[in-house]
Amino acid sequence: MKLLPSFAFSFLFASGSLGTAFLFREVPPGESGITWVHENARSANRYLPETAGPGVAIFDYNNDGRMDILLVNSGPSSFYTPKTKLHHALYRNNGDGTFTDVTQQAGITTDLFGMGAAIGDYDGDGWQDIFLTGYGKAVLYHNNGNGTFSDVTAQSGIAQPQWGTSAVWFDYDNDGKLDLFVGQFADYSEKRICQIADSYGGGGADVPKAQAYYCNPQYFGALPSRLYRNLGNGRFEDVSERTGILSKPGKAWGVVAADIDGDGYTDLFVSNDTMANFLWMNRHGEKFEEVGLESGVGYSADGTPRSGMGVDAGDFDGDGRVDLMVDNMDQQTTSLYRNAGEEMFEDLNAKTGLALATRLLSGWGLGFFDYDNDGRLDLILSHGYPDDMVDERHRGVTYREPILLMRNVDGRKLESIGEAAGPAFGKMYAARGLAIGDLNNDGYPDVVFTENGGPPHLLMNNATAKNHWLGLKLQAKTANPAAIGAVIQWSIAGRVFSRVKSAGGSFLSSRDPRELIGSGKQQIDWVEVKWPAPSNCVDRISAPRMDQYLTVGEGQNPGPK
Amino acid sequence: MVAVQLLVLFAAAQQSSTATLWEEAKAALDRGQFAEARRLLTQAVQISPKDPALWFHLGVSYSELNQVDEAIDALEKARRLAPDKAEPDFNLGLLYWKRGDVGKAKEAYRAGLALDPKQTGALQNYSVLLMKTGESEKAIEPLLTLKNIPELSLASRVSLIECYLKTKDRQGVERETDELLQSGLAPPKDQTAIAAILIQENDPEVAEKVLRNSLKLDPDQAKAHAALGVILMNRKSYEEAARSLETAVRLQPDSAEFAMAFSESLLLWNRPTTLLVFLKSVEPRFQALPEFQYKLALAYYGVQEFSNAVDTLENLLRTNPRRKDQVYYILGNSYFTMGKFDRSEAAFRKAIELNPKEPDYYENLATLLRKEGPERLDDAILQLGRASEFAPSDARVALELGLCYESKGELKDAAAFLESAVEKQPGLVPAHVALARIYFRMGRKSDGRKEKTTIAALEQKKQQQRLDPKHAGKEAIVDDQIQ
Repeated sequence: MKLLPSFAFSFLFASGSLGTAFLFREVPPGESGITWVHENARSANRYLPETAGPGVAIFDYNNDGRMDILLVNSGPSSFYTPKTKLHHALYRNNGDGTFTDVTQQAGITTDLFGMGAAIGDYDGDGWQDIFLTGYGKAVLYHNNGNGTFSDVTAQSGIAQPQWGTSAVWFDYDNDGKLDLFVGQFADYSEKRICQIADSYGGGGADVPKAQAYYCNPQYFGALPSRLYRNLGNGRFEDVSERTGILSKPGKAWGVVAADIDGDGYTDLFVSNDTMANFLWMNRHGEKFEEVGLESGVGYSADGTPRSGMGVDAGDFDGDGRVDLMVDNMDQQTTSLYRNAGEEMFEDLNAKTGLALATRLLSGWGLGFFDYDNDGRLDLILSHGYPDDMVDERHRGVTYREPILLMRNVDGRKLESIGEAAGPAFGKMYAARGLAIGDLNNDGYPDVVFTENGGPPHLLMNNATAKNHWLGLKLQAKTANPAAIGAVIQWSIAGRVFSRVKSAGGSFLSSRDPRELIGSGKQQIDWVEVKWPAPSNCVDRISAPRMDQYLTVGEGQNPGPK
Repeated sequence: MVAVQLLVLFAAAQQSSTATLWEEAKAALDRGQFAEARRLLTQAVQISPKDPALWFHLGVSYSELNQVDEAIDALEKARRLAPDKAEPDFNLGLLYWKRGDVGKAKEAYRAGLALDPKQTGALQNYSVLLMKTGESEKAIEPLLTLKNIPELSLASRVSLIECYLKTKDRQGVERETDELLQSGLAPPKDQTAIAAILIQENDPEVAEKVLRNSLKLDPDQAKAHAALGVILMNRKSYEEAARSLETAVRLQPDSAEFAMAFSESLLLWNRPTTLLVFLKSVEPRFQALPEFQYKLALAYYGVQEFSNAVDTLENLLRTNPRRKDQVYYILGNSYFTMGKFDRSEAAFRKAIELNPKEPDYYENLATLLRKEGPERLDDAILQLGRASEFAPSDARVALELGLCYESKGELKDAAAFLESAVEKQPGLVPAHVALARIYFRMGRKSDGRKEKTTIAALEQKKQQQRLDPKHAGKEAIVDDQIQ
């Protein structure tokens, strides 16, 4: 009898028991080379920023066609001095399932108590730049195109935030340049140290030992987020006041940029903690009008504000309109807002089963993605309670919580896959950031999520569904470099589907900028890209070859008028 | 002449006979030989029927022999014969009272005191009689006199306090209490007893003053700490209440009453972990008590150990506790928080079955039904209809109805209920939020904007309270959260 080659055996072993393939496989650090661990700077004083990070970004920093991974670390700040030098981590994708730490060579070395990362080619030179947010500091890194980055914050005009959280690159005024929205969390300027009564768990001064707890954000004032207009020369202008963003302070955690009403202008959905979420409708690139309350996404169905964390935008029910998602703390449930048109939304969390699945969980990074390429957007959700001492007090809720993979059954119902998705889904984490990206370019989205004070987790999609897909890499010319706002349409057996390219989303994180379209067992008849203003041109590719990435250059495949 | 001499001789003999009888009767009275005294005096009054003293002492003899009617007759004769003497009246007062002739008793005392206003025994008895027959106001005067007699001062002052309480003369209560405390007459235990009276008569403020004073003098009184704790609890000073009751428990650890009161204070103070620790420490002593198990369940619920709360409540139900409906209600809330909606619904329905008049039960069931989905909304509305029968002015019922109708898409009805909710409770932010949402959906943008402005103002106020260090750790006054 011939023995199986060892590599094949190890592959089968890694997939799970023989004959059973999990949907996702966690790649251990020893295999991936991703050995970085987040330092959350946990102190006896329990400063609130310690609970939040880190974010993660999936992007191609060196334009080799492979998605790399950036992980954000904490660092020196007014309340923390590390004992040893901390560093962020930029891992280059080697293309063989391994990654190499290139942080030092890349020059991503600025000290900051980092939160998240927003990736975007702000100067349109074809190389992805990085914006890092943090407590008391933010850093803009320009990609030099040679594997290195330069800190250009000082000359950028971007102010240092008090506590920057999620940020997103998008073109608010349709001038073809990527502008920057920086979310700002609560006013933590006094670095208040809280007792148990003011903590996340709340309650009375119960615990016999006298110690500090992580503060409940409701005890802090709100601060406005900022919008920076890209002036095109490496400089940015703060247009927060002019556009109305300054008018409503918040406690922003997550932000996603998407064209909610299909008017060609990209809007913003911002999650706020312990206050209403904001839906900033972009009024013709001049002003933003906040309509969270009236649209139905500001408060819970009960009329109460919640602790909004991660957000995302995607067409859940396939009706061509962008739906929204936001997760919250335990008992508050994750909301899935169906876009009903005319700036109105309906929370489907009860109808879909999402409320029941998330009732006891506190959510952070999340995302819409089609994990099995059946053409319907599924959900990946990460969780963890913010207060590390919750296990001592509120033993019904735990600090570490599971991640959830929710399959979109029919555009109306969700099914929690549970541990059938993979052993990783049966474990518990202090999860925070989450990014979705196709790390091995097989057309099936993979997931990287981080842990506060722990290692990142790399979940490779085993592509068990064997459905067809088409990947699009959009290369703009006059439209903004990320093609945010592009309307992508495709036809399958005569039925037309559409999607608007959004930006940002999740929590402190940034996803693979390419678009993946799942088509089940079918061939896509044609795919069309309507570029956003100022371009507005339309490219169409007929009968695209399936199961591959297609680069669509603006104006290079003019479609029918 | 002889006849006259005979008469004089006879009269002298009679006198001498009465005097002898009186002397002998007096001696018998002194010896407590009342029957003998009665015999002698009966003879004496036949000889000297106009001698009030003889009738008086005959009356006393009868009284000692419990021959009330006869005693009264004799004393009435004494009174008629010596209307300037107060003693017959005083004794008649007591005897009429004994016979249940309260009116005559009071008359007799009044008459006697008119003749001898300083007779302390009579004053005491009269004041007691007045107090016991609901004429506390009239009792004040005699008590004020007695107050100045040193050996009677304490009892009179206490009685005065009672009278002022009964006549709702708060100033009198305070004044008298202050004087009593300043006088130092009442030892600490007596002060605690006085406080108990004050509590009974619904004057907790003065009771608190007395208790604090008592405890300053003798801090080791468990009852006083407990009583003070209860007063503070009722006044919503939960922290101090808990400390007081904790001391009571420490001094008297076997008292179930004190332990349960302490537990209650911890619940009200929202200290579930401390409560849990305490109950676990006294579990061997009190675990058989249904109230203990109930509080233990609430403690588990408070620390969000819902499965333990459920286990405890389910066990408690097997013992057929007193307020089963409350147990089912907490069970329903526990299951709800655990996401076990089926069991939660069953528990709420059971609570309703046992106590169909408690609006909270219907409300919580309705919230659960609403969250379950559109197919349960009609049932939710039905439950809320029942809740509103028992709590017609409850804004939360109106809010919940509004949310149900909103979920059904019946916006006009939803708006009506929500408008009613905010009218009943203008600070109820969730109602304003839902109303604003609905106005915008109905195209009533101007109304929607007005609601938005109201919401912003309410939320700002709430936030200011939260940021105020004085309110650290406390929930804001504008309390509008529902689960």
